[in-house]
Amino acid sequence: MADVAQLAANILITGSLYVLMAVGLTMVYRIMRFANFAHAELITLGAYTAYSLNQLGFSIYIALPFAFTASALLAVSLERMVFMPIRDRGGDVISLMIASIGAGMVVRHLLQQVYSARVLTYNIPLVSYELLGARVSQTQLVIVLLGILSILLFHLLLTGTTLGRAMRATSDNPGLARASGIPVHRVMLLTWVLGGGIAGMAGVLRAADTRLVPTLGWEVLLPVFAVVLLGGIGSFYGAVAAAYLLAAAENVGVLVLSSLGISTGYRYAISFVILILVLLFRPHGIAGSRLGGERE
Amino acid sequence: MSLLAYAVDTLIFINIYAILALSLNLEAGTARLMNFGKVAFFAIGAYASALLSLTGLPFPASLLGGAVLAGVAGVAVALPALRLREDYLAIATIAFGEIIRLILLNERWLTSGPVGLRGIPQPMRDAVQEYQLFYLALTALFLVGVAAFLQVLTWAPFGRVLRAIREDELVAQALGKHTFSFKARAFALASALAGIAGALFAHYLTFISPDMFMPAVTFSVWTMIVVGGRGSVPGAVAGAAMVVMLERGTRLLKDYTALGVEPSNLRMILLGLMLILFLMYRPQGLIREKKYEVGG
Amino acid sequence: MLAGRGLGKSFGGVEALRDVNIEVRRGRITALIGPNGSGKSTLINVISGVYPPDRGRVEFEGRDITSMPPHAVAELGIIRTFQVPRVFRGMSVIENMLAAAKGEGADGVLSPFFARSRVKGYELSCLRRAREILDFLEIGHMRNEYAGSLSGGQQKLLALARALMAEPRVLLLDEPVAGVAPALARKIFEKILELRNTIGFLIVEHNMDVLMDFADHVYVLHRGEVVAEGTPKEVLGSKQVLEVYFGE
Ligand SMILES: Nc1ncnc2c1ncn2[C@@H]1O[C@H](COP(=O)(O)OP(=O)(O)OP(=O)(O)O)[C@@H](O)[C@H]1O
Ligand SMILES: [Mg+2]
Repeated sequence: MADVAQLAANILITGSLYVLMAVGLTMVYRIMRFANFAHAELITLGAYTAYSLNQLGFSIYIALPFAFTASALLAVSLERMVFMPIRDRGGDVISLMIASIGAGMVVRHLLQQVYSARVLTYNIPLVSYELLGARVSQTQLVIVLLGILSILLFHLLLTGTTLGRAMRATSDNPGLARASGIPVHRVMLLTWVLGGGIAGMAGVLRAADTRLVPTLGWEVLLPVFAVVLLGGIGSFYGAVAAAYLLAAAENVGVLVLSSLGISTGYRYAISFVILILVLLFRPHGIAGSRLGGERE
Repeated sequence: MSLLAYAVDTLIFINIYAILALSLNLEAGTARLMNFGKVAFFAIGAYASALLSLTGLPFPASLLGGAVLAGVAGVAVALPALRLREDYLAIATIAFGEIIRLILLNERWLTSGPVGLRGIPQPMRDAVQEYQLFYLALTALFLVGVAAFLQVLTWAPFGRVLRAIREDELVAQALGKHTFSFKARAFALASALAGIAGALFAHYLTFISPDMFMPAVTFSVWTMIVVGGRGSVPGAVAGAAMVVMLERGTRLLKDYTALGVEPSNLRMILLGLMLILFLMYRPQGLIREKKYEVGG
Repeated sequence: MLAGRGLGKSFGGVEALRDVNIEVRRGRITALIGPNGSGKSTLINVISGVYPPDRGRVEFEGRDITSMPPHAVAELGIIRTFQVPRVFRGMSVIENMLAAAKGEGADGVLSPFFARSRVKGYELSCLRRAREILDFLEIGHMRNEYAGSLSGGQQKLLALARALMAEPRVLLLDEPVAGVAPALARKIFEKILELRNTIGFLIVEHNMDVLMDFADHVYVLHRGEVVAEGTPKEVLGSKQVLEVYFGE
């Protein structure tokens, strides 16, 4: 019983982190129409921003908005200084994708230069609670609460605000959105801000739950891509469902691996295999929405 | 290491990486196959050839084995994955590369896991006095052979169809080209060539381990072809030379100056910047792909 | 020789084709007209295997070729062009042409090494043919330019030239002379007239004069349905066509 409760708790924790890390990637992928590999570094930058503040004596929860700001700024700068110029010069999605790899390399190693490649940890009180037989740390509780809160806020944003509607219109059909007077350019920038910012906060929580290294974001990027693709590119609700589904698959998968006597070193492979299977068999995700038809 | 030995060592690495860059160039430059998992085929060639020669097989046979196995892996990836849209192919192949690395890490009975393989036999080790020079000649021979082969192939009807696929796959199909077959053959051939590069790498170092086959390898090879000029055979070689010398240069800087920047960080930052700047300002690379022309 | 029978195709809610019956024969020039969005390009896409039809069959010389992949349809000699000229922009004009030629065993990985003389002969004969076609279409002087640098009209010509290069038995041409100078357009249609006994033609074309002078049989599509067919004289003045184009 306690095992089941712990398993459920772990799934909730992993899944909530995936939600936070995937929202931005899926929105940018849909609206900007390319796979942004530098999303990993948006996650990592947030985590290091919080580390610096934490070193100055601030709690990592106080640091969350700063992590949001730092990553949002980075996201907007990348758009302005890298992706926009390439797009303006006629670069295609392939060029953007490769450029995002390059941008990620630059940021990751700048961070590594500043903070070293050492494994760092935050100063956080090691409080944990027993909940229904599961042992959960304070950080993990915050992860789940923030995850659920952001799901609700995002739902309200998408359904109840002008910005949300503009974002949906833009992601469905940028040309049409522009024609109907939506400031597509501003919507795109806001997408970067929101997506980048949330990724930065997710980075803080992930680092608090595990450890902080320059490859923090890169290590989770492929599972996050799995969430995005399984959920259907641009689909927020799809991503939420996919995040918890992938989390369940990973947590159950580890148990299965060890019961089969297979090295648990393969636990990372679970999400990679799922990612590949999704691409091969459900490339448009569980929601089944397509990213623009191949019209003439 | 003496300066001469260092120079020869650098040249050997240039030769090996140039073969790898040429193989990526066939896929990604001539055709438009976004292989973000190139390192996997390099690793398969390296491990297969090393293991075969450790069982006592002579070098030519193990090298051939490495090439064949990498080529077979290429076919295995190509058959399901080449139907994918370009960005999906990129994500799927990067996941494949990580799965291969996990296998190298976890199948200790075969690969010795994280400690890697040691004492990989070198061809003609005892018969040659200036061994490094011999190996330089050996790799140069392979590079010249591969480059000449690809230069002819690229400008033969086969390569022309690959370019047509790169420009517009549906049109190529509408002109009667079985594009999947062309892509699969290109991918398999390129994988086998990457396997040859891997074998030359393993037998030169006499020691390989999984951490030599991180995704970063793939992206430095991508930098080589973007900088050199996608689609251009001499470009891939020039790009490889530039990137390897950049790496060596940053290492030397550390020995001779107090730069205050970790050379590995500096190198990755510069590689990332090169990628971005070339995509922005010189997307055709240093040596633009030749244009097929006919006389009066 | 080529026929669509009862073809239907929908995109989401839009019924782009509904029960379309159409026949292309050697010896006559078949034209396809209809207002914007009436399904002309969709019909070509369905016949050429780009989209599988939801209903109906495509037959070629008695064979059912419904839902065959595009390359297989093309290998049978059914070659189509696109409404927006899709040239291989990053390749020279002459290379666009060579890329369209049938492989004939010269396009293998090993052929340039083990069948050198055959590949050489193949290239020479392709080149000769390519230059003839380009010269006829008056873009021979552009042969060494990047195809992407041609004007819109020239790109249309190149797309047509490329289709001819593929040794077609049937040509499906989607507005082949849009943006081409009228004199050249007529010259092209005269050539088509010459070729019609060896090649079947299905041509989307709007120019009434051209249709009157060159088409033998006209189909009128409207909202995915064939609303009229017959000789240009019968069809072009008919009530249905006026309604389709000018409303009731
Ligand atoms: N790939 C697609 N996805 C969705 N709808 C499509 C697609 N292709 C065509 N349609 C729709 O099908 C209908 C027929 O389009 P089609 O392009 O065949 O018309 P057309 O007769 O060629 O028009 P035009 O004269 O403008 O070229 C239109 O309503 C179009 O919007
Ligand atoms: Mg049309």
